[in-house]
Amino acid sequence: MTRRGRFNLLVTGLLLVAIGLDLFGGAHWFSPLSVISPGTSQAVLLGMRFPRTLCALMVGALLAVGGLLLQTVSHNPIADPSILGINAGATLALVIGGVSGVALTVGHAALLALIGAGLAYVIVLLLAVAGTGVDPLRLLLGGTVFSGFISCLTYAISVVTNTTQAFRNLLIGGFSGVDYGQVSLLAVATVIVVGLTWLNRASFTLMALDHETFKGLGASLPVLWGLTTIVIMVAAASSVAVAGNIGFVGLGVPQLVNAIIPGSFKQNLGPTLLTGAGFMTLADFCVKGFVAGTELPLAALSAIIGGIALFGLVAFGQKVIRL
Amino acid sequence: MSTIMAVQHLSAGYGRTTIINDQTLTIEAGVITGLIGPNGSGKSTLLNVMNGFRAPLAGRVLLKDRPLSTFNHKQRAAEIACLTQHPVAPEGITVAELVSYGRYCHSKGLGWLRRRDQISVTEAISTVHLTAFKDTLVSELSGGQRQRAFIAMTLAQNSPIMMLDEPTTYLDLPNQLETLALLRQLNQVHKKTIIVVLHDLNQAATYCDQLVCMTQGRVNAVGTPKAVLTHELLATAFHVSADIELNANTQRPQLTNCQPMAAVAQ
Repeated sequence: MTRRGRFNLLVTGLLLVAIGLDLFGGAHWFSPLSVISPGTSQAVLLGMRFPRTLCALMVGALLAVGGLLLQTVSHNPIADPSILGINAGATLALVIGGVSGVALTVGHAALLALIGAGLAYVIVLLLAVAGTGVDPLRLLLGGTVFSGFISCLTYAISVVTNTTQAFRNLLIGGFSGVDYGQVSLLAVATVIVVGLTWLNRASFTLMALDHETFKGLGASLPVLWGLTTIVIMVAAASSVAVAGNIGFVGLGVPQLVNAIIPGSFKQNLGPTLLTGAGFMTLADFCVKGFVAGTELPLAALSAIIGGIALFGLVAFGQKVIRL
Repeated sequence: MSTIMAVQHLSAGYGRTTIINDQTLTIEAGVITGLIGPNGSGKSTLLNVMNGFRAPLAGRVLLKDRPLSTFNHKQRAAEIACLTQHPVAPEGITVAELVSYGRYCHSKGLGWLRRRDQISVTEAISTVHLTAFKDTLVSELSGGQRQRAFIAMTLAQNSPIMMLDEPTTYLDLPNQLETLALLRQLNQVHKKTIIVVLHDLNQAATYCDQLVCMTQGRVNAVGTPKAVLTHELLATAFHVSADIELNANTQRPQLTNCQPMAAVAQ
Protein backbone atom coordinates (compact mmCIF):
# COMPACT_ATOMS: atom_id res chain seq x y z
CA MET A 1 0.00 0.00 0.00
CA THR A 2 1.32 3.45 -0.86
CA ARG A 3 2.06 6.14 1.68
CA ARG A 4 -0.90 8.08 0.30
CA GLY A 5 -3.18 5.06 0.69
CA ARG A 6 -2.04 4.45 4.28
CA PHE A 7 -2.63 8.12 5.10
CA ASN A 8 -6.14 8.09 3.65
CA LEU A 9 -6.97 4.92 5.56
CA LEU A 10 -5.63 6.35 8.81
CA VAL A 11 -7.48 9.64 8.40
CA THR A 12 -10.74 7.91 7.51
CA GLY A 13 -10.35 5.72 10.61
CA LEU A 14 -9.67 8.74 12.82
CA LEU A 15 -12.63 10.54 11.26
CA LEU A 16 -14.96 7.67 12.15
CA VAL A 17 -13.58 7.53 15.71
CA ALA A 18 -14.00 11.31 16.03
CA ILE A 19 -17.61 11.10 14.81
CA GLY A 20 -18.34 8.34 17.32
CA LEU A 21 -16.74 10.22 20.22
CA ASP A 22 -18.43 13.51 19.35
CA LEU A 23 -21.86 11.92 18.90
CA PHE A 24 -21.94 9.68 21.95
CA GLY A 25 -19.33 11.25 24.22
CA GLY A 26 -19.10 14.49 26.15
CA ALA A 27 -20.44 15.70 29.47
CA HIS A 28 -22.88 12.81 29.26
CA TRP A 29 -21.99 9.56 27.48
CA PHE A 30 -24.74 7.81 25.55
CA SER A 31 -24.93 4.24 24.40
CA PRO A 32 -24.97 3.99 20.61
CA LEU A 33 -28.02 1.77 21.03
CA SER A 34 -30.08 4.61 22.46
CA VAL A 35 -30.46 6.02 18.95
CA ILE A 36 -32.98 3.30 18.14
CA SER A 37 -34.81 3.20 21.51
CA PRO A 38 -37.31 6.05 21.96
CA GLY A 39 -36.75 8.23 25.02
CA THR A 40 -34.87 11.29 26.29
CA SER A 41 -31.53 9.91 25.15
CA GLN A 42 -32.82 9.47 21.62
CA ALA A 43 -34.26 12.99 21.63
CA VAL A 44 -30.96 14.50 22.80
CA LEU A 45 -28.95 12.49 20.27
CA LEU A 46 -31.17 13.33 17.32
CA GLY A 47 -32.04 16.90 18.31
CA MET A 48 -28.69 18.13 19.66
CA ARG A 49 -25.78 15.73 19.16
CA PHE A 50 -26.43 14.89 15.51
CA PRO A 51 -26.69 18.49 14.26
CA ARG A 52 -23.67 19.46 16.36
CA THR A 53 -21.46 16.71 14.94
CA LEU A 54 -22.68 17.42 11.40
CA CYS A 55 -21.83 21.12 11.83
CA ALA A 56 -18.35 20.31 13.19
CA LEU A 57 -17.66 17.96 10.27
CA MET A 58 -18.74 20.49 7.64
CA VAL A 59 -17.07 23.54 9.22
CA GLY A 60 -13.80 21.60 9.50
CA ALA A 61 -14.02 20.51 5.86
CA LEU A 62 -14.96 24.03 4.65
CA LEU A 63 -12.14 25.78 6.50
CA ALA A 64 -9.52 23.24 5.44
CA VAL A 65 -10.54 23.29 1.76
CA GLY A 66 -10.76 27.12 1.77
CA GLY A 67 -7.26 27.28 3.25
CA LEU A 68 -5.79 24.80 0.75
CA LEU A 69 -7.31 26.72 -2.16
CA LEU A 70 -6.05 30.10 -0.95
CA GLN A 71 -2.56 28.69 -0.30
CA THR A 72 -2.45 27.20 -3.79
CA VAL A 73 -3.66 30.20 -5.77
CA SER A 74 -1.64 32.77 -3.80
CA HIS A 75 1.58 30.68 -4.00
CA ASN A 76 1.83 31.17 -0.29
CA PRO A 77 2.01 28.29 2.19
CA ILE A 78 0.84 30.45 5.10
CA ALA A 79 -2.16 32.07 3.42
CA ASP A 80 -5.50 31.28 5.02
CA PRO A 81 -8.87 33.09 5.06
CA SER A 82 -8.44 33.79 8.79
CA ILE A 83 -4.98 35.30 8.28
CA LEU A 84 -6.32 37.56 5.54
CA GLY A 85 -8.97 38.97 7.87
CA ILE A 86 -11.88 37.42 5.97
CA ASN A 87 -13.17 35.49 8.99
CA ALA A 88 -12.62 38.53 11.21
CA GLY A 89 -14.64 40.67 8.80
CA ALA A 90 -17.52 38.21 8.94
CA THR A 91 -17.33 38.15 12.76
CA LEU A 92 -17.38 41.94 12.96
CA ALA A 93 -20.39 42.15 10.65
CA LEU A 94 -22.25 39.64 12.83
CA VAL A 95 -21.43 41.48 16.07
CA ILE A 96 -22.42 44.86 14.60
CA GLY A 97 -25.62 43.32 13.27
CA GLY A 98 -26.40 41.67 16.61
CA VAL A 99 -25.67 44.81 18.64
CA SER A 100 -27.82 46.97 16.39
CA GLY A 101 -30.77 44.64 16.88
CA VAL A 102 -30.81 42.35 13.84
CA ALA A 103 -32.33 39.02 14.85
CA LEU A 104 -29.49 36.58 14.08
CA THR A 105 -31.52 33.84 12.42
CA VAL A 106 -29.62 31.43 10.21
CA GLY A 107 -30.49 33.38 7.07
CA HIS A 108 -29.64 36.79 8.54
CA ALA A 109 -26.40 35.50 10.03
CA ALA A 110 -25.32 33.97 6.73
CA LEU A 111 -26.07 37.17 4.85
CA LEU A 112 -24.28 39.41 7.38
CA ALA A 113 -21.25 37.11 7.47
CA LEU A 114 -21.11 37.08 3.66
CA ILE A 115 -21.22 40.91 3.53
CA GLY A 116 -18.53 41.20 6.22
CA ALA A 117 -16.29 38.60 4.57
CA GLY A 118 -16.74 40.25 1.17
CA LEU A 119 -15.92 43.75 2.45
CA ALA A 120 -12.84 42.49 4.29
CA TYR A 121 -11.67 40.62 1.16
CA VAL A 122 -12.06 43.73 -1.03
CA ILE A 123 -10.25 45.95 1.49
CA VAL A 124 -7.36 43.51 1.91
CA LEU A 125 -7.07 43.11 -1.88
CA LEU A 126 -7.00 46.90 -2.33
CA LEU A 127 -4.28 47.13 0.34
CA ALA A 128 -2.28 44.56 -1.61
CA VAL A 129 -2.54 46.19 -5.05
CA ALA A 130 0.89 47.41 -6.03
CA GLY A 131 1.74 48.67 -9.49
CA THR A 132 0.47 46.14 -11.99
CA GLY A 133 -1.10 43.50 -9.77
CA VAL A 134 -1.64 41.99 -6.36
CA ASP A 135 1.62 41.52 -4.48
CA PRO A 136 1.40 38.27 -2.43
CA LEU A 137 3.61 39.63 0.37
CA ARG A 138 1.54 42.80 0.70
CA LEU A 139 -1.61 40.66 0.64
CA LEU A 140 -0.33 38.67 3.59
CA LEU A 141 1.10 41.51 5.65
CA GLY A 142 -1.84 43.80 4.96
CA GLY A 143 -4.24 40.96 5.75
CA THR A 144 -2.56 40.13 9.06
CA VAL A 145 -2.58 43.74 10.24
CA PHE A 146 -6.14 44.26 9.02
CA SER A 147 -7.27 41.04 10.69
CA GLY A 148 -5.82 42.13 14.04
CA PHE A 149 -7.43 45.55 13.70
CA ILE A 150 -10.86 44.11 12.89
CA SER A 151 -10.68 41.57 15.72
CA CYS A 152 -9.86 44.33 18.24
CA LEU A 153 -12.76 46.37 16.91
CA THR A 154 -15.07 43.39 17.31
CA TYR A 155 -14.01 42.83 20.93
CA ALA A 156 -14.25 46.57 21.66
CA ILE A 157 -17.81 46.77 20.36
CA SER A 158 -18.75 43.66 22.26
CA VAL A 159 -17.17 44.81 25.55
CA VAL A 160 -18.56 48.36 25.34
CA THR A 161 -22.08 47.07 24.68
CA ASN A 162 -21.79 44.38 27.38
CA THR A 163 -22.56 41.61 24.90
CA THR A 164 -19.51 39.36 25.24
CA GLN A 165 -21.66 36.65 26.84
CA ALA A 166 -24.34 36.90 24.14
CA PHE A 167 -21.72 36.63 21.39
CA ARG A 168 -19.59 34.05 23.26
CA ASN A 169 -19.89 31.44 20.52
CA LEU A 170 -19.06 33.95 17.84
CA LEU A 171 -16.04 35.43 19.60
CA ILE A 172 -14.35 32.30 20.90
CA GLY A 173 -15.87 29.78 18.52
CA GLY A 174 -18.10 26.85 19.29
CA PHE A 175 -20.94 24.60 18.22
CA SER A 176 -23.14 24.65 21.35
CA GLY A 177 -26.81 25.08 20.56
CA VAL A 178 -26.66 24.51 16.80
CA ASP A 179 -29.77 23.04 15.18
CA TYR A 180 -30.82 21.69 11.80
CA GLY A 181 -31.21 25.24 10.42
CA GLN A 182 -27.46 25.69 10.68
CA VAL A 183 -26.91 22.19 9.36
CA SER A 184 -28.87 23.11 6.21
CA LEU A 185 -26.90 26.34 5.76
CA LEU A 186 -23.59 24.47 6.04
CA ALA A 187 -24.86 21.71 3.76
CA VAL A 188 -25.59 24.25 1.02
CA ALA A 189 -22.19 25.89 1.57
CA THR A 190 -20.42 22.52 1.48
CA VAL A 191 -22.11 21.54 -1.78
CA ILE A 192 -21.04 24.88 -3.35
CA VAL A 193 -17.47 24.82 -2.01
CA VAL A 194 -16.67 21.14 -2.51
CA GLY A 195 -18.55 21.07 -5.83
CA LEU A 196 -16.72 24.05 -7.32
CA THR A 197 -13.28 22.98 -6.11
CA TRP A 198 -13.79 19.37 -7.22
CA LEU A 199 -15.08 20.28 -10.69
CA ASN A 200 -12.24 22.77 -11.25
CA ARG A 201 -9.49 20.89 -9.46
CA ALA A 202 -7.41 20.44 -12.62
CA SER A 203 -7.43 24.21 -13.24
CA PHE A 204 -6.78 25.12 -9.59
CA THR A 205 -3.86 22.68 -9.60
CA LEU A 206 -2.21 24.63 -12.44
CA MET A 207 -2.54 27.87 -10.45
CA ALA A 208 0.27 26.62 -8.23
CA LEU A 209 2.66 27.03 -11.18
CA ASP A 210 4.24 30.38 -12.02
CA HIS A 211 2.04 32.78 -13.91
CA GLU A 212 3.69 32.49 -17.34
CA THR A 213 3.84 28.70 -17.34
CA PHE A 214 0.19 28.67 -16.23
CA LYS A 215 -0.74 30.82 -19.24
CA GLY A 216 1.37 28.74 -21.59
CA LEU A 217 -0.58 25.62 -20.64
CA GLY A 218 -3.80 27.28 -21.84
CA ALA A 219 -5.44 28.20 -18.54
CA SER A 220 -7.30 31.44 -17.96
CA LEU A 221 -6.79 33.45 -14.79
CA PRO A 222 -9.84 35.78 -14.44
CA VAL A 223 -12.42 32.97 -14.35
CA LEU A 224 -10.40 31.01 -11.80
CA TRP A 225 -9.89 34.04 -9.53
CA GLY A 226 -13.65 34.60 -9.66
CA LEU A 227 -14.31 30.99 -8.65
CA THR A 228 -11.66 31.21 -5.93
CA THR A 229 -13.34 34.30 -4.50
CA ILE A 230 -16.76 32.61 -4.43
CA VAL A 231 -15.39 29.47 -2.77
CA ILE A 232 -13.45 31.35 -0.10
CA MET A 233 -16.29 33.79 0.67
CA VAL A 234 -18.85 30.99 1.03
CA ALA A 235 -16.52 28.78 3.09
CA ALA A 236 -15.44 31.54 5.49
CA ALA A 237 -18.83 33.26 5.86
CA SER A 238 -20.85 30.09 6.46
CA SER A 239 -18.43 28.69 9.02
CA VAL A 240 -18.23 31.99 10.91
CA ALA A 241 -22.03 32.36 10.85
CA VAL A 242 -22.40 28.96 12.50
CA ALA A 243 -19.33 28.47 14.65
CA GLY A 244 -17.61 31.84 15.01
CA ASN A 245 -14.07 32.77 14.17
CA ILE A 246 -11.94 29.62 14.31
CA GLY A 247 -8.35 29.99 13.21
CA PHE A 248 -5.61 27.44 12.52
CA VAL A 249 -7.72 24.82 10.67
CA GLY A 250 -7.45 26.64 7.32
CA LEU A 251 -3.74 27.18 7.81
CA GLY A 252 -2.59 24.11 9.68
CA VAL A 253 -4.57 21.23 8.22
CA PRO A 254 -3.44 21.70 4.59
CA GLN A 255 0.14 22.17 5.89
CA LEU A 256 -0.02 19.03 7.99
CA VAL A 257 -1.43 16.95 5.11
CA ASN A 258 1.15 18.30 2.67
CA ALA A 259 3.99 17.59 5.09
CA ILE A 260 2.97 13.94 5.45
CA ILE A 261 1.89 13.30 1.84
CA PRO A 262 3.42 15.98 -0.41
CA GLY A 263 1.23 16.48 -3.45
CA SER A 264 -0.58 18.82 -5.78
CA PHE A 265 -3.91 20.53 -5.15
CA LYS A 266 -5.96 17.83 -6.82
CA GLN A 267 -4.06 15.05 -5.06
CA ASN A 268 -4.44 16.58 -1.60
CA LEU A 269 -7.97 17.98 -1.88
CA GLY A 270 -9.67 14.82 -0.61
CA PRO A 271 -7.23 14.05 2.23
CA THR A 272 -7.31 17.72 3.35
CA LEU A 273 -11.12 17.72 3.42
CA LEU A 274 -11.22 14.51 5.49
CA THR A 275 -8.49 15.70 7.87
CA GLY A 276 -10.21 19.07 8.40
CA ALA A 277 -13.53 17.39 9.14
CA GLY A 278 -11.92 14.90 11.53
CA PHE A 279 -9.82 17.55 13.27
CA MET A 280 -12.79 19.83 13.92
CA THR A 281 -15.00 16.97 15.16
CA LEU A 282 -12.29 15.79 17.53
CA ALA A 283 -11.73 19.36 18.73
CA ASP A 284 -15.47 19.69 19.41
CA PHE A 285 -15.41 16.49 21.47
CA CYS A 286 -12.52 17.90 23.54
CA VAL A 287 -14.40 21.19 23.98
CA LYS A 288 -17.38 19.56 25.63
CA GLY A 289 -15.77 16.48 27.13
CA PHE A 290 -12.63 17.70 28.94
CA VAL A 291 -14.17 19.80 31.70
CA ALA A 292 -17.59 18.58 32.82
CA GLY A 293 -20.29 21.22 32.66
CA THR A 294 -18.14 23.76 30.78
CA GLU A 295 -17.64 24.42 27.09
CA LEU A 296 -13.98 25.23 26.47
CA PRO A 297 -13.28 27.96 23.88
CA LEU A 298 -13.06 26.09 20.56
CA ALA A 299 -10.94 28.70 18.78
CA ALA A 300 -8.33 28.56 21.56
CA LEU A 301 -8.37 24.77 21.66
CA SER A 302 -8.01 24.59 17.88
CA ALA A 303 -5.07 26.95 18.06
CA ILE A 304 -3.42 24.96 20.87
CA ILE A 305 -3.77 21.54 19.20
CA GLY A 306 -2.81 23.00 15.85
CA GLY A 307 0.06 24.98 17.31
CA ILE A 308 1.55 21.84 18.88
CA ALA A 309 1.17 19.93 15.60
CA LEU A 310 2.81 22.70 13.57
CA PHE A 311 5.56 23.11 16.17
CA GLY A 312 6.27 19.39 15.84
CA LEU A 313 6.48 19.71 12.08
CA VAL A 314 8.88 22.62 12.23
CA ALA A 315 11.03 21.19 15.01
CA PHE A 316 11.33 17.58 13.86
CA GLY A 317 10.78 17.88 10.14
CA GLN A 318 8.96 14.89 8.76
CA LYS A 319 10.80 12.32 10.84
CA VAL A 320 8.21 12.01 13.59
CA ILE A 321 5.30 11.45 11.25
CA ARG A 322 6.71 8.99 8.72
CA LEU A 323 3.93 6.58 7.94
CA MET B 1 8.97 25.23 -46.76
CA SER B 2 5.75 26.80 -45.61
CA THR B 3 5.11 29.67 -43.24
CA ILE B 4 3.60 28.59 -39.91
CA MET B 5 3.66 31.95 -38.11
CA ALA B 6 3.86 35.52 -39.32
CA VAL B 7 4.35 38.81 -37.53
CA GLN B 8 3.00 41.78 -39.50
CA HIS B 9 3.83 45.42 -38.74
CA LEU B 10 4.07 44.52 -35.08
CA SER B 11 4.58 47.04 -32.32
CA ALA B 12 4.85 45.76 -28.77
CA GLY B 13 5.88 46.98 -25.36
CA TYR B 14 4.87 47.42 -21.75
CA GLY B 15 2.40 50.16 -20.86
CA ARG B 16 3.51 53.29 -22.69
CA THR B 17 7.00 52.03 -23.46
CA THR B 18 7.25 50.76 -27.01
CA ILE B 19 10.01 48.18 -27.27
CA ILE B 20 9.31 46.77 -30.74
CA ASN B 21 8.20 49.20 -33.43
CA ASP B 22 6.57 48.12 -36.72
CA GLN B 23 8.47 44.88 -37.37
CA THR B 24 7.60 42.08 -39.79
CA LEU B 25 8.85 38.48 -39.65
CA THR B 26 7.85 35.02 -40.84
CA ILE B 27 8.62 31.70 -39.18
CA GLU B 28 9.05 28.61 -41.37
CA ALA B 29 7.40 25.35 -40.36
CA GLY B 30 9.65 22.50 -39.28
CA VAL B 31 12.82 24.44 -38.59
CA ILE B 32 14.63 25.65 -35.48
CA THR B 33 14.63 29.42 -35.40
CA GLY B 34 17.05 31.06 -32.98
CA LEU B 35 16.32 34.52 -31.57
CA ILE B 36 19.58 36.27 -30.83
CA GLY B 37 20.50 39.79 -29.83
CA PRO B 38 21.97 41.73 -26.93
CA ASN B 39 20.15 42.13 -23.58
CA GLY B 40 17.16 44.43 -23.83
CA SER B 41 16.92 44.15 -27.62
CA GLY B 42 13.32 42.89 -27.49
CA LYS B 43 13.81 39.11 -27.90
CA SER B 44 11.66 38.18 -24.93
CA THR B 45 9.07 40.82 -25.81
CA LEU B 46 8.80 39.42 -29.33
CA LEU B 47 8.50 35.88 -27.97
CA ASN B 48 5.81 36.92 -25.48
CA VAL B 49 3.73 38.52 -28.22
CA MET B 50 4.18 35.57 -30.56
CA ASN B 51 3.03 33.09 -27.90
CA GLY B 52 -0.02 35.19 -27.04
CA PHE B 53 1.01 36.16 -23.48
CA ARG B 54 0.90 39.82 -24.47
CA ALA B 55 -1.37 41.62 -26.88
CA PRO B 56 0.48 43.65 -29.53
CA LEU B 57 0.22 47.46 -29.35
CA ALA B 58 -0.24 47.50 -33.12
CA GLY B 59 -0.02 45.03 -36.00
CA ARG B 60 -0.86 41.36 -35.71
CA VAL B 61 0.47 37.86 -35.24
CA LEU B 62 -0.79 35.13 -37.59
CA LEU B 63 -0.75 31.47 -36.62
CA LYS B 64 -1.44 29.18 -39.59
CA ASP B 65 -2.86 32.21 -41.48
CA ARG B 66 -5.32 33.01 -38.66
CA PRO B 67 -4.90 35.93 -36.25
CA LEU B 68 -3.55 34.59 -32.93
CA SER B 69 -6.14 36.68 -31.06
CA THR B 70 -8.94 34.50 -32.48
CA PHE B 71 -7.60 31.40 -30.70
CA ASN B 72 -8.91 30.82 -27.17
CA HIS B 73 -6.44 29.91 -24.41
CA LYS B 74 -6.70 26.15 -24.82
CA GLN B 75 -6.65 26.25 -28.63
CA ARG B 76 -3.55 28.42 -28.52
CA ALA B 77 -1.83 26.11 -26.05
CA ALA B 78 -2.62 23.16 -28.32
CA GLU B 79 -0.67 24.93 -31.11
CA ILE B 80 2.13 26.62 -29.15
CA ALA B 81 3.87 25.18 -26.10
CA CYS B 82 6.01 27.59 -24.08
CA LEU B 83 8.90 27.08 -21.71
CA THR B 84 9.48 30.26 -19.73
CA GLN B 85 12.78 31.44 -18.34
CA HIS B 86 12.11 30.59 -14.68
CA PRO B 87 9.46 27.90 -14.54
CA VAL B 88 8.48 27.22 -10.91
CA ALA B 89 7.00 23.86 -9.91
CA PRO B 90 4.83 23.71 -6.81
CA GLU B 91 6.22 21.80 -3.82
CA GLY B 92 5.62 18.12 -3.57
CA ILE B 93 4.71 17.13 -7.12
CA THR B 94 6.27 14.28 -9.07
CA VAL B 95 7.67 14.40 -12.60
CA ALA B 96 4.68 12.44 -13.93
CA GLU B 97 2.27 14.88 -12.26
CA LEU B 98 4.10 17.90 -13.71
CA VAL B 99 4.19 16.43 -17.20
CA SER B 100 0.46 15.62 -17.02
CA TYR B 101 -0.26 19.37 -16.70
CA GLY B 102 0.71 19.63 -20.36
CA ARG B 103 -2.47 17.75 -21.22
CA TYR B 104 -4.66 20.54 -19.79
CA CYS B 105 -5.19 22.19 -23.19
CA HIS B 106 -6.68 18.94 -24.52
CA SER B 107 -8.97 18.35 -21.53
CA LYS B 108 -12.69 18.78 -21.78
CA GLY B 109 -15.28 19.05 -19.03
CA LEU B 110 -14.13 17.52 -15.77
CA GLY B 111 -10.50 17.12 -16.72
CA TRP B 112 -10.04 13.42 -16.07
CA LEU B 113 -6.85 12.13 -17.62
CA ARG B 114 -7.93 9.73 -20.34
CA ARG B 115 -5.94 6.80 -21.67
CA ARG B 116 -4.66 8.89 -24.58
CA ASP B 117 -3.41 11.52 -22.12
CA GLN B 118 -1.59 8.89 -20.07
CA ILE B 119 0.14 7.62 -23.23
CA SER B 120 1.23 11.15 -24.21
CA VAL B 121 2.62 11.74 -20.71
CA THR B 122 4.56 8.46 -20.70
CA GLU B 123 5.96 9.18 -24.17
CA ALA B 124 7.00 12.72 -23.26
CA ILE B 125 8.82 11.48 -20.17
CA SER B 126 10.64 8.79 -22.13
CA THR B 127 11.60 11.28 -24.89
CA VAL B 128 13.49 13.41 -22.35
CA HIS B 129 15.01 10.26 -20.75
CA LEU B 130 13.37 10.68 -17.35
CA THR B 131 11.43 7.41 -17.25
CA ALA B 132 13.44 6.24 -14.25
CA PHE B 133 12.52 9.46 -12.44
CA LYS B 134 8.81 9.64 -13.23
CA ASP B 135 7.80 9.16 -9.59
CA THR B 136 10.55 11.40 -8.21
CA LEU B 137 9.64 14.78 -6.75
CA VAL B 138 10.52 17.63 -9.12
CA SER B 139 12.20 19.42 -6.20
CA GLU B 140 14.66 16.52 -5.83
CA LEU B 141 15.89 16.66 -9.45
CA SER B 142 19.15 18.26 -10.58
CA GLY B 143 19.01 21.46 -12.63
CA GLY B 144 19.36 19.67 -15.94
CA GLN B 145 16.79 17.00 -15.07
CA ARG B 146 14.38 19.68 -13.89
CA GLN B 147 14.71 21.50 -17.21
CA ARG B 148 14.05 18.23 -19.06
CA ALA B 149 10.97 17.61 -16.90
CA PHE B 150 9.57 21.00 -17.93
CA ILE B 151 10.42 20.30 -21.58
CA ALA B 152 8.48 17.03 -21.22
CA MET B 153 5.53 19.02 -19.88
CA THR B 154 5.53 21.23 -22.99
CA LEU B 155 5.95 18.09 -25.15
CA ALA B 156 2.82 16.59 -23.61
CA GLN B 157 0.91 19.56 -25.03
CA ASN B 158 1.49 17.84 -28.38
CA SER B 159 1.69 21.19 -30.15
CA PRO B 160 3.40 21.68 -33.52
CA ILE B 161 5.25 24.77 -32.23
CA MET B 162 7.54 25.07 -29.19
CA MET B 163 8.86 28.38 -27.87
CA LEU B 164 11.67 28.42 -25.33
CA ASP B 165 13.05 31.51 -23.60
CA GLU B 166 16.75 31.03 -22.80
CA PRO B 167 16.44 27.32 -21.94
CA THR B 168 20.19 26.98 -21.37
CA THR B 169 20.89 30.05 -19.23
CA TYR B 170 20.96 28.41 -15.80
CA LEU B 171 22.55 25.12 -16.85
CA ASP B 172 26.16 23.94 -16.82
CA LEU B 173 27.83 23.14 -20.16
CA PRO B 174 26.98 19.41 -20.41
CA ASN B 175 23.35 20.14 -19.56
CA GLN B 176 23.28 23.03 -22.04
CA LEU B 177 24.49 20.73 -24.81
CA GLU B 178 22.10 17.99 -23.77
CA THR B 179 19.16 20.40 -23.84
CA LEU B 180 20.13 21.69 -27.29
CA ALA B 181 20.60 18.15 -28.60
CA LEU B 182 17.15 17.33 -27.25
CA LEU B 183 15.69 20.30 -29.13
CA ARG B 184 17.35 19.08 -32.33
CA GLN B 185 15.91 15.61 -31.75
CA LEU B 186 12.43 17.09 -31.21
CA ASN B 187 12.81 19.01 -34.44
CA GLN B 188 14.08 16.09 -36.51
CA VAL B 189 12.16 13.16 -35.05
CA HIS B 190 8.98 14.86 -33.83
CA LYS B 191 8.92 17.49 -36.62
CA LYS B 192 8.48 20.36 -34.14
CA THR B 193 8.80 23.96 -35.23
CA ILE B 194 11.02 25.45 -32.53
CA ILE B 195 11.62 29.10 -31.67
CA VAL B 196 14.33 29.51 -29.07
CA VAL B 197 16.02 32.51 -27.46
CA LEU B 198 19.76 31.83 -27.08
CA HIS B 199 22.64 33.97 -25.85
CA ASP B 200 25.58 31.82 -26.95
CA LEU B 201 26.09 32.67 -30.64
CA ASN B 202 28.17 29.55 -31.33
CA GLN B 203 25.44 27.32 -29.91
CA ALA B 204 22.83 29.28 -31.86
CA ALA B 205 24.84 28.83 -35.07
CA THR B 206 25.32 25.11 -34.43
CA TYR B 207 21.79 24.14 -33.44
CA CYS B 208 19.51 26.58 -35.30
CA ASP B 209 18.54 26.44 -38.98
CA GLN B 210 17.44 30.07 -39.05
CA LEU B 211 18.61 33.00 -36.95
CA VAL B 212 16.70 36.20 -36.21
CA CYS B 213 18.86 38.94 -34.77
CA MET B 214 17.12 41.68 -32.79
CA THR B 215 18.75 45.03 -32.02
CA GLN B 216 17.00 47.84 -30.17
CA GLY B 217 13.55 46.49 -30.97
CA ARG B 218 14.25 45.96 -34.67
CA VAL B 219 14.70 42.75 -36.61
CA ASN B 220 18.25 43.38 -37.73
CA ALA B 221 18.95 40.26 -39.75
CA VAL B 222 17.13 37.06 -40.73
CA GLY B 223 18.57 34.01 -42.44
CA THR B 224 20.85 31.00 -42.08
CA PRO B 225 23.54 31.25 -39.42
CA LYS B 226 26.12 31.67 -42.18
CA ALA B 227 24.23 34.62 -43.67
CA VAL B 228 23.40 36.29 -40.34
CA LEU B 229 26.66 35.95 -38.38
CA THR B 230 28.85 38.43 -40.25
CA HIS B 231 31.61 40.76 -39.03
CA GLU B 232 29.29 43.66 -39.76
CA LEU B 233 26.39 42.28 -37.68
CA LEU B 234 28.71 41.44 -34.77
CA ALA B 235 29.96 45.02 -34.85
CA THR B 236 26.58 46.77 -35.17
CA ALA B 237 24.44 44.54 -32.93
CA PHE B 238 26.90 43.27 -30.31
CA HIS B 239 29.86 45.70 -30.57
CA VAL B 240 32.10 42.70 -30.78
CA SER B 241 34.83 41.72 -33.22
CA ALA B 242 35.69 38.08 -33.79
CA ASP B 243 37.20 35.64 -36.23
CA ILE B 244 34.46 33.69 -38.02
CA GLU B 245 35.36 30.20 -39.18
CA LEU B 246 33.21 27.55 -40.83
CA ASN B 247 33.26 24.30 -38.89
CA ALA B 248 34.50 21.59 -41.27
CA ASN B 249 31.95 19.01 -40.13
CA THR B 250 28.81 21.06 -39.66
CA GLN B 251 29.50 23.85 -42.14
CA ARG B 252 28.19 26.23 -39.48
CA PRO B 253 30.00 29.46 -38.60
CA GLN B 254 31.87 29.53 -35.27
CA LEU B 255 33.26 32.60 -33.55
CA THR B 256 36.70 32.59 -32.00
CA ASN B 257 38.87 35.27 -30.49
CA CYS B 258 35.90 37.47 -29.51
CA GLN B 259 36.87 40.96 -28.38
CA PRO B 260 34.73 43.91 -27.33
CA MET B 261 35.05 46.70 -29.94
CA ALA B 262 36.28 49.21 -27.37
CA ALA B 263 39.31 47.00 -26.65
CA VAL B 264 40.09 46.71 -30.36
CA ALA B 265 39.92 50.45 -30.80
CA GLN B 266 42.61 51.02 -28.19
